[in-house]
Amino acid sequence: MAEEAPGGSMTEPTLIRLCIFVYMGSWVLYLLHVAFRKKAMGLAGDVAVLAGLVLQTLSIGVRWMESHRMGIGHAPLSNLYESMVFFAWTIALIYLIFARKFQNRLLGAFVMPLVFLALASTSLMNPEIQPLVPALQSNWLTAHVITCFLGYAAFAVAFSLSLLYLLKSRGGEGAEGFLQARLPPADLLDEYSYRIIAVGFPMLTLGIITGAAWANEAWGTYWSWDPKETWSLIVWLIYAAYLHARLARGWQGRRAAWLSIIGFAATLFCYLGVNLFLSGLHSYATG
Amino acid sequence: MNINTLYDRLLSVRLTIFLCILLAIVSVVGTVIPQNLTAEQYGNLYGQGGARLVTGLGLSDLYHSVGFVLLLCLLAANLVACTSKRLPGTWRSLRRDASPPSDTAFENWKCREAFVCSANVEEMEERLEGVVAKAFGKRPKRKTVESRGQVLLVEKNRYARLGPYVAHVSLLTILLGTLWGAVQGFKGGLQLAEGEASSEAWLRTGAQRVPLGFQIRCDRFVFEQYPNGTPKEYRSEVTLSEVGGEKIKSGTIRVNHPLTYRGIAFYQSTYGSLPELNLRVRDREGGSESMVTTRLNAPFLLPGSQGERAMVVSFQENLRIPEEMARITSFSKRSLGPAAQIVVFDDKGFGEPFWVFRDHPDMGKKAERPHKFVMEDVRLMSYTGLQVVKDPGAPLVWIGCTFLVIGFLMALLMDHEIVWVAGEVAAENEYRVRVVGRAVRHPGIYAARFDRQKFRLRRGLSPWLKKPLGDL
Ligand code: HEM
Repeated sequence: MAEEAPGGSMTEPTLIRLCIFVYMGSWVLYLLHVAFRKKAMGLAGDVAVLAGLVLQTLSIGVRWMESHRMGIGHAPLSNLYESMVFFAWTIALIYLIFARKFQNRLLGAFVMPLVFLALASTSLMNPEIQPLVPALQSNWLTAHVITCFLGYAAFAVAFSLSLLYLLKSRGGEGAEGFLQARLPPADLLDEYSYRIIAVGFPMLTLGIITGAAWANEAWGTYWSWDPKETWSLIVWLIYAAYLHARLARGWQGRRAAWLSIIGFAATLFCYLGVNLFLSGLHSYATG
Repeated sequence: MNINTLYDRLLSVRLTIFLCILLAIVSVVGTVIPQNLTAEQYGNLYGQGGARLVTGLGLSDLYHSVGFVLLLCLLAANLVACTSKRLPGTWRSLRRDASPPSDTAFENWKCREAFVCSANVEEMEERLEGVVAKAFGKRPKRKTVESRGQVLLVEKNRYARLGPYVAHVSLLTILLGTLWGAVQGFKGGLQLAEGEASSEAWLRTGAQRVPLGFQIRCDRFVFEQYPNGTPKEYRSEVTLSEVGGEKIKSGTIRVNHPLTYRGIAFYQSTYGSLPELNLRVRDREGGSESMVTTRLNAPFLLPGSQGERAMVVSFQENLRIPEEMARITSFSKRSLGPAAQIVVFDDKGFGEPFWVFRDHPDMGKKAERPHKFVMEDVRLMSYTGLQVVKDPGAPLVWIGCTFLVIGFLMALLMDHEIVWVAGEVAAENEYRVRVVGRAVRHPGIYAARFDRQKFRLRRGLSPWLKKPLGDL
């Protein structure tokens, strides 16, 4: 079974490579749109993201079916390669849902590199479809990964908005640089990044809770201060601070934007840094 | 600083922000410094001085250190103070409809619109309610305002204002559940060879046993692999029975599928082979001698003593002496055969470990000890390792988690909306409909929704509208 098909599905990594180019294309279109203020290019960029998303959904489906064909069927969310593909997918998805409301493609120019860089990084990882070790054989795993990554992706988009906010508010009210002239008012950027964090935060909370429920079922402890768990709590605390920052005067705007940027840095560390630099229960994800 | 300002500080959201960030920073430290190592291991990592610093500051068990727990308590106090201060007011205002708009509200609120209709007043007053109900998806309430007479009120999601409170109380519930579990529950382990039964678990800390109140026997342990050698399943088939009696039930314990009985849960945790040692123990003074059969990490009573305990803390099938050591000691051989390290506990639960060798019964300094241990025999048995947990706080934690998410969704994705609609006669045959709206917590986000709502209202009013549709 597993030995008969070493390397697993060969179509799926190829499809993913194709996705990278489609997403890169959308990025280029967004850049052109920003540079020349041509509406059509912005729309073409949106279409490219949609095409990339459809293609990527397809390739995730192919991988899923392939695992069933190999007799070790499981949702493709179980190792670093699969989670990275899913991470890119959720960012593209959240961006696309949100882009319709936001109506400013400069955001796309900031978000799409996150998507195709995440996908490109999978070429450094082992794409083999592996059977699940006993600890990973749990429905909590699927719920845990999906909710966590929806949260992460929301934070990624909010991070881009906060960067744009800092760009926009640099040099005070009247300043109108090249990018500043192409951005919506600072208030709106601030408001929107808050709004998307308000979606990401309950998601991350669900992610932490389903993770705890899983740990409880597998090891009999819902919280053991393992580095990955602790880092997810750190991320959660930063965004809790962010949400409260908006309730306390003087903490809106720049300070909130910095919290959102620090929050996303912590998110990335929680996802990747912990595996690379620290060790713990989640070390399976180094595959 | 007097008590009142101190209390105000405790109430403040600023303190919440500060504590969240501080807790985050402190937590980072505990992920960088490995936790719960021995002094020796810290010594190897950070040198003697560093190790003393780490253990002295409580950084070796950071998350259970006094400082960290105090920070959590401060956050909890912050929460309690904040919630108890605000909840009564919010609750009261929730029971009533929104208070009537001020005289100038229809000119001042940020989200507002006016429609000029040409219709007779009676017809409009009759129809307006239905039009509003359709536009806002909810039947409005009639209210009387002094300066205007009848106005209509549409309120939505009023109870979303409880969201933060639901979330905050849930957080406290989770903290409470964790505390309750720590005080009332236990975490232990159990190693059972096939066919063996036990009615006690070993606690993680110290050499204590906890009675289970029933007996668990391992009937069979199964380990399956995938064709490529990756582990596929660990499974213990067990039977539960009353202590010394009736069978209760059989069951299997797999990873991710614990077995729970009477509040005690058994988890598949490890497996392996385990030495079973036959020790002959002689009381040097009394001269009595007896046999003990024991396992690793399983304390046993010393024969002839008043409750004195000993325990085998480690075992080597064939203890090897490193070459450098062999040169400076009198050992002629480098392989010493089966060796067990034993500790005799004093009344405080401490003791120096010493080695006992099966093939060299007289080796080591034994003369000072009141007991002489001789390893007669040792067998390796395969066993299953179960984690045994009793956590009466867990239900509280899961209830808290559920409501935490519900509270967040209420607080973050719903908002209490208030819309006022007033009709007034502006001129002969001219009826003006004014509408204002606001959202209590997220006014900025509300603006876009108000735009959609007023568009729907406009569509509803279109049969009477003076200006044609399209130039809104
Ligand atoms: C880590 C712990 C905490 C978390 C995760 C948390 C979470 C939240 C969330 C998600 C909201 C809604 C925010 C929004 O609508 O933007 C909120 C609101 C609020 N929180 Fe917290 N909170 C925590 C601790 C505290 C503490 C200790 C206080 C005490 C001062 C507090 C005071 C408030 C207040 C006053 C509000 C606004 C209530 C309102 O608008 O009526 N929170 N909290």
